Amino acid sequence: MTRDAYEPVIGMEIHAELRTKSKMFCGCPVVDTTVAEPNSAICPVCTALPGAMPVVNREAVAQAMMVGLALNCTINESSIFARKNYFYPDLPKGYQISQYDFPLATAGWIEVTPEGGEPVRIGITRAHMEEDTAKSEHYPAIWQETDAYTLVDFNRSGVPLLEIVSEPDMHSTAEALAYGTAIREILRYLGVNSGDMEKGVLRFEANVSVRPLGSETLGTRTEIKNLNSFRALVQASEYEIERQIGVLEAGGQVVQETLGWDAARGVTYSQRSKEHAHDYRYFPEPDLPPLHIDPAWVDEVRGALPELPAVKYERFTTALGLPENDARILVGERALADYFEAALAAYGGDPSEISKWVVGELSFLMNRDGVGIGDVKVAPDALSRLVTLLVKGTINQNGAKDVLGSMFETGRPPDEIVKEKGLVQISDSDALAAVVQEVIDENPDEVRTYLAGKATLLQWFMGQVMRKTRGRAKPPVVLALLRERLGEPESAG
Amino acid sequence: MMDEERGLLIDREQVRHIGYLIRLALTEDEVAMFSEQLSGIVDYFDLLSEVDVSDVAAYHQPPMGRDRLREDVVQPTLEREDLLANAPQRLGGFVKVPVVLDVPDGEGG
Amino acid sequence: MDLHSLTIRAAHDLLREGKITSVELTGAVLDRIAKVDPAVRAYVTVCHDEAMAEAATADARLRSGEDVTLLTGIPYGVKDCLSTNGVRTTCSSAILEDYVPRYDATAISRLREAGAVLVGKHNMDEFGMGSSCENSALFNTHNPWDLARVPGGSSGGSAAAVAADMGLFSLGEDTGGSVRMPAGFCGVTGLKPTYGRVSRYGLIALASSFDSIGPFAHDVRDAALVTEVIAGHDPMDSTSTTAAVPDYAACMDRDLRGVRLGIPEEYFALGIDPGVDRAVRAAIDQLADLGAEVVPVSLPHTKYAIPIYYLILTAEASSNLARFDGVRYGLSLPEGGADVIDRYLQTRERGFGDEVKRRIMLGTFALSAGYYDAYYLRAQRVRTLLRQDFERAFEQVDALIAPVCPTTAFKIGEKIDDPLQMYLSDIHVVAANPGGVCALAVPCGFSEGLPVGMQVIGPPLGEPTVFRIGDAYQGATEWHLARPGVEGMSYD
Repeated sequence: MTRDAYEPVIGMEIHAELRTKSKMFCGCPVVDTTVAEPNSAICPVCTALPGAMPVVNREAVAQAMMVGLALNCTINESSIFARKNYFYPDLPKGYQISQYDFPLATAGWIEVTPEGGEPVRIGITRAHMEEDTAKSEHYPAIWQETDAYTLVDFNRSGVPLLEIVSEPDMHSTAEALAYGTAIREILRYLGVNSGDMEKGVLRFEANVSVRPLGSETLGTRTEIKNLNSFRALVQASEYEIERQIGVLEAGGQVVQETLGWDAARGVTYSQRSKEHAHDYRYFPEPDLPPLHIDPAWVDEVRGALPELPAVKYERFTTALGLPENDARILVGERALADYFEAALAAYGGDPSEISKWVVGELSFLMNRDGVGIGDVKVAPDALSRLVTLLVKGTINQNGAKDVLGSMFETGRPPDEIVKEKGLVQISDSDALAAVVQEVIDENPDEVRTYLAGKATLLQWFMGQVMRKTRGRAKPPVVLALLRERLGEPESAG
Repeated sequence: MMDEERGLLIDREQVRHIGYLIRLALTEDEVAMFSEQLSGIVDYFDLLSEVDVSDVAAYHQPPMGRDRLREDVVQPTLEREDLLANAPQRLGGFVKVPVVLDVPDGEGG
Repeated sequence: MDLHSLTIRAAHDLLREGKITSVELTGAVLDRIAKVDPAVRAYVTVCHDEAMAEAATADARLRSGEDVTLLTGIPYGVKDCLSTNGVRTTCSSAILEDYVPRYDATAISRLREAGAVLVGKHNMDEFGMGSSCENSALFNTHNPWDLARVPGGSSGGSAAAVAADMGLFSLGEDTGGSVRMPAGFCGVTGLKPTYGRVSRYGLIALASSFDSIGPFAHDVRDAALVTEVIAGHDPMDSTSTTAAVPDYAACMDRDLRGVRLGIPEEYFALGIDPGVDRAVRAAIDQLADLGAEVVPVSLPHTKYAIPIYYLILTAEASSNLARFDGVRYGLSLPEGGADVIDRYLQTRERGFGDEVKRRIMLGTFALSAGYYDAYYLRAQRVRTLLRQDFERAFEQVDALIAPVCPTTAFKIGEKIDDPLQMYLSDIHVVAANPGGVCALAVPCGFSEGLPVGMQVIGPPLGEPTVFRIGDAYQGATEWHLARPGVEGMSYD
């Protein structure tokens, strides 16, 4: 009841590591910091040795531009790096090189559709480049043995980060979820981020406030940091909305603060700093001249953008006529969509015949064995050949499944397997008639039951014929023969 | 631009605040001394307020274009020992510091 | 022949002809240091063994005749703010007292490649903050011309070393006069190159948009030769210029006909010592005799140079010095226990001297919320006007002539109590760095037995012009040939 009198207002900040070979400001390799040896990818620059200086990674800028363009942003011709000053052991310089007044990209938007809802446009305030911090792990004191301490690994220090800031345009956690999902999908599509949130390469922050329904002014907002899964995003936002409503209902005021999410206890908690407000004392980075991005470079990057998910979905459903569900699954992973299109190109027939197999049986096998589309042994044109054989009637549905299974294991071409397994369908009426007659003769009780009205037994007879032919009988022919020889069952009342 | 009140431009409270921002454990004597010295210096710097800068842009270096940026290739790194040998405290392959009680003012993520 | 008092060019000729070896030359310089540095105290670290090893390598190169440069086998020292691989680098600060870098600054690499022999690291004002070397946390350096006086700063050690023949050249660094002032006080030649001319990679940063590494030498030709080796674009420094490095030697021309020199009236209106004024004016007359045309010019925003300089410098320095936190290198207090904030607070409180603390607090103030626009931003805007002053002046003239300092070297302890007074004495030199120009300091006389220095200020990338003018001056005068008689002096 009370809940409905309030409107949640949510904005999100997303930090995405970019997939360059080297770091943002130095030539150290970008490594998977969850598995690499600590402090194995370091240099004077990313460990802030005295005298070290940053140099901007061109590819990081290009990838940032790609994201900005994919989010319909303006890529600013001039942007400036700035120092954000504060002290923390994972920030070796005592400042982070980021962008402040003049970011790379501004004024964009994306359209997202929350589950069960209408499409909504979410504004993108800005996207700017910065560097990631090192990683610190905290260890508690062990009584009488050691004091509490923190260990720092600088492998992550200096990895390129893109910060994407949305307008506070979301009004439900469903919208926030849809937004986060869409951004992640776009980043994966562009190949600039794996989307693997468990490895921390993509991080969410939610700014949450509430206001009475109909109000134009924004309420005081809180910032929930370090939401490292969609689940955390949704749960934390939900909790915070409820909490704020509770505070307001009780006549109190929401305090503007930074919060963390305690997933175990299901609550947000204050991360108020020990003392003093933050004063980052931003100023332009004197070691880096302003960045000038000429329009020709923007055009080049724009021209190289892959087709984005929303556009691809539209094309798959409209131009190719795929069922919505198939399209959604294919679009969900760019490599899968690319595979489908390669197979379709080789096939040249009804696209939904191909999509059915990709999202159906092939995906089933991939999931079963934990194999990604990049590693399947079934080449797209081989799949296409298989579907051709099925549609032509050379093999039947079961046979095709069987063959695909073999192709999946071995990578061998379908024709070879069909021949080897002797799966060519028997479509010859005379040959099948003999088998059909055999089945009828051997099962008089079932015949009687069928004719008495149990029409569903037709499938059972079909099954028996299939058994006898080891799955090679052509179903329509069998069906026709059965109907002919059995006769019609009595209609059910 | 400064407050109207007579008194030090940068009072002791401000000196303590600034001192904390840059992590200096100032003694009270230092706070008093710096308050006086900094006030005198800033008072002199207020000389700049007489300049008309309404039409003047802040200085920036000549901008760098695409060709001045670094190619995305991996360069040789430092050996881990180069870092750890100079570190006041270490543990295994890590740099060790006393416990961090405070929350970062603003992490990269 | 006193090997230690040779110019680079003379030493090079002798080395190439096989008349002396680098081992001999380097040994002579090291002997000189042993003899004279106890009084002068220019050196923080002397790398005796490394230097002799480098000298031996240089000798092999010289013997083979392959890959020999003008600097091969020449011994030199460096201000202790340049990273030298394996050699302690302190910035004359307690916070880096035992810090040993694991990489070379680019300027050092280039000198190594050329075969120069690094002899040691020079004392300075702590982190470059000062004009006398009295802000060194380690010890004072003494002016070789009068040991009771300062050598100037912040590159005091590097200037004194060359003045006292403890190295055939040295590298200093000029953020707001830190090469030119000590060059003037110590009677040697020193260059502040155009910002970006020499790579800053490996230079421990003070004010990132002002810092300029520059050489000290006995004459302009030596200084030009060193500049040519260390200058040039460095991909590791995004602020280094891509402009080609000219053949400076080819730019020399002792006939100054056609050269127009500007005398900035604001610089001569500022309470200059009569002795200094006399010497600089005589030098201007000498330049006119060489054919130069001398005209008055105006740099109307000169009086704002000090606030502009100090606001921007302290702001950048406050940020640059944040990395000294006792975590990855350097001083670290307290040992064990406590939390990391205590580590920061104690390390930085004890590790930084008063002037450093003063400046980083000032800089933090200038950047802080509510004050950024009125202080830091405003300084950057008036800076544009300062730069325009120079641009307009250089439309009329080729170079400007000015004193290096209103006085000659003052006594140790004389000025240290009033920080603002110290800042104000920099008035002749601070404008060049925010102004983006280059400036050469050459000795132009004496006043009461102490050297007087003159600045030749040129437009951005105007080194060929200032070298030409300074060299022409030295071709017609002998001030640069004078040497202090420092042996036998002691400081008490």
